[in-house]
Amino acid sequence: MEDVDARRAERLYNKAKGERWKLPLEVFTNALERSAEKTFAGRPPDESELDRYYDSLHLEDLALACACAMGREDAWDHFVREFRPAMYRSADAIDPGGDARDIAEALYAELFGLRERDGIRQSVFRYFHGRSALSTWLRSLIAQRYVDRYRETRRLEPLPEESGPAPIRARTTAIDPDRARYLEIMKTTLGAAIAALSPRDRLRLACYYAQEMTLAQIASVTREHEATVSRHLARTRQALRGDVERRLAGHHGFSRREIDECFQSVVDDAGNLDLADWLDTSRKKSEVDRSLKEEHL
Amino acid sequence: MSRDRDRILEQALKHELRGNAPSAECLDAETLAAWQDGALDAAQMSAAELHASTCTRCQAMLAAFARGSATPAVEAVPDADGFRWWKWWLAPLAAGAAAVTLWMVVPEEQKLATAPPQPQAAVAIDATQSRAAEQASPPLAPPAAQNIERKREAAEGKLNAEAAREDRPQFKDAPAPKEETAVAQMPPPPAAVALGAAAAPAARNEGFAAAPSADLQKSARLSAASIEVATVDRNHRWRITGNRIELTANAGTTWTVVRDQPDEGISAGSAPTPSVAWFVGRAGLVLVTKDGGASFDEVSIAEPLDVASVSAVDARTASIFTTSGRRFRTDDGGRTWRPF
Repeated sequence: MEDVDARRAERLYNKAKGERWKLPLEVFTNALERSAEKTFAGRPPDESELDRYYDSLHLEDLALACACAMGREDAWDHFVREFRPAMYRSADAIDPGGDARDIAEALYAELFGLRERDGIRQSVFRYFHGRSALSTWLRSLIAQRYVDRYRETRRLEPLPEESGPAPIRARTTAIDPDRARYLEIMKTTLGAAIAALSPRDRLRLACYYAQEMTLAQIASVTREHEATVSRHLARTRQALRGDVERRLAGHHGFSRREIDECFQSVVDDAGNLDLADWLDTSRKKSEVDRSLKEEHL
Repeated sequence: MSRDRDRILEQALKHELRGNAPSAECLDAETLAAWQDGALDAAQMSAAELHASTCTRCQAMLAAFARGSATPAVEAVPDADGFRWWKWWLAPLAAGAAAVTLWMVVPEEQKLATAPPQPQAAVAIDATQSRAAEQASPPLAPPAAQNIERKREAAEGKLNAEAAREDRPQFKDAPAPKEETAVAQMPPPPAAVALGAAAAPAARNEGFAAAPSADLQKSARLSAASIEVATVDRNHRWRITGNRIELTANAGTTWTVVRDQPDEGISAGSAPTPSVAWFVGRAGLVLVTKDGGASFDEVSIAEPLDVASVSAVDARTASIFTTSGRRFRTDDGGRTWRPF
């Protein structure tokens, strides 16, 4: 990636109001170059594209981040006043039980750069490149660390003791030997049908069913209107069902009764909830009925 | 059976979609943020969606981010150099006037006697009942919004009927289509609390809600002018209401008045720890407590400047910002202040 030329750097510096924090131009220029390097890794942009990119950055936030990373007191005061409350609010919104708040506090300390390497203050601010607003980036960091900590906690949870709950009572009825086969086929077929969806359709489904996000939240991810999300979810679910039934009938030659058996086999099988259902253990169960309401079929 | 298949399919989707393993190409926080702010180009967006569609870790991050973004929109305190002091004083007065106006237009049968004023001695205020009442009775919507709400409900009913005829499923939280724009333009829910060192005066007063019951009216009047100051301990919070400073040690279940001096006009606070808190207000007022409100030291600045906000690091170090745009800092617990 080419260095930012002096005139462009100065223009962007002024736009970023870097002088407010007495930010050295060189530091700001380095930040711009790192930002472009990350975005255009592997595909050098032309001058006009680079200009557009730089102008699209949240330059004032970038300057503030650079100044905070340097330990500029006035910049840090500004950050504490303007951004720290929002960090805590975001953490509280992620986990109303308060488990995310210490993540926000730890992040706050890391942003301040309490660690040093080779005598140089190491601040997490160096990973902010200005593509997003600083507040968005902070929320993203908190969300990422919250998720990773939760996953780590789940992974390290001890297995239940042998002297735990009473053993499950054996079934009184004989197990249909075909049931296991139907279940396996159903899972494979469903997996193939999901894989055949477009990424966005798959993402919407995952957000709605696996992550239990609301339509509004999904809309913010896919940058669509809520009604559009709802419509696409309904269409995808119907298409998925049709695809599964066609695969069962076509690839496996199943009759209608056998297709019913395949669907029924999923009901009887609880699935690998302990391994895959990691989202539910410490979070309150969603009270929203996620099932579709169909008036007529 | 057809309907059963749909329900079964939904259950199966929950398990199947949660089983996707994360990969080494997971989105980093910076990319996730750029995605949410619309800063990814088409190719980057496609790559991000493709990865996230099969990665539970990234999906979980998206979900956590969406939850974390669902905070009341609080207007950031403008830079001190451009701060308009007159707006700061005007906002509580405007909110109070609005409170009186809305109280007066509430139907006669809903008006109840107001509670007597609180005594000066420290009292425990039971916020549970009023908070429950607040939650039970949503804020009185302005007439235009009420009309929009009725239209939305009617549209929802119509939508369900139409969908039934067209054999389309309805999602539980799907919005009504035609009135969505109007609904979306309705004001966001009131900001009930303002956390941290300094919250915008206008945002602090958005929490007003006229209500039919006396408790709710009292609570509404309180929330119209109350500022909550959070600490690192979520059970400990301070609350500023005019001249009164209150403290809760049980996450707001009960509040204890720890200071109530007339004409102090406290405007903001900052609490770096549960026991240390700084408060600022009119005419240079600066207070600091190091014992959780048992006692306060007045460490006001010499100049009679109205102080808009404070940012404290500990019991010795704090910065204050005046309405005239001046900033002062202390490193000795307020004994001396230097401009910066």
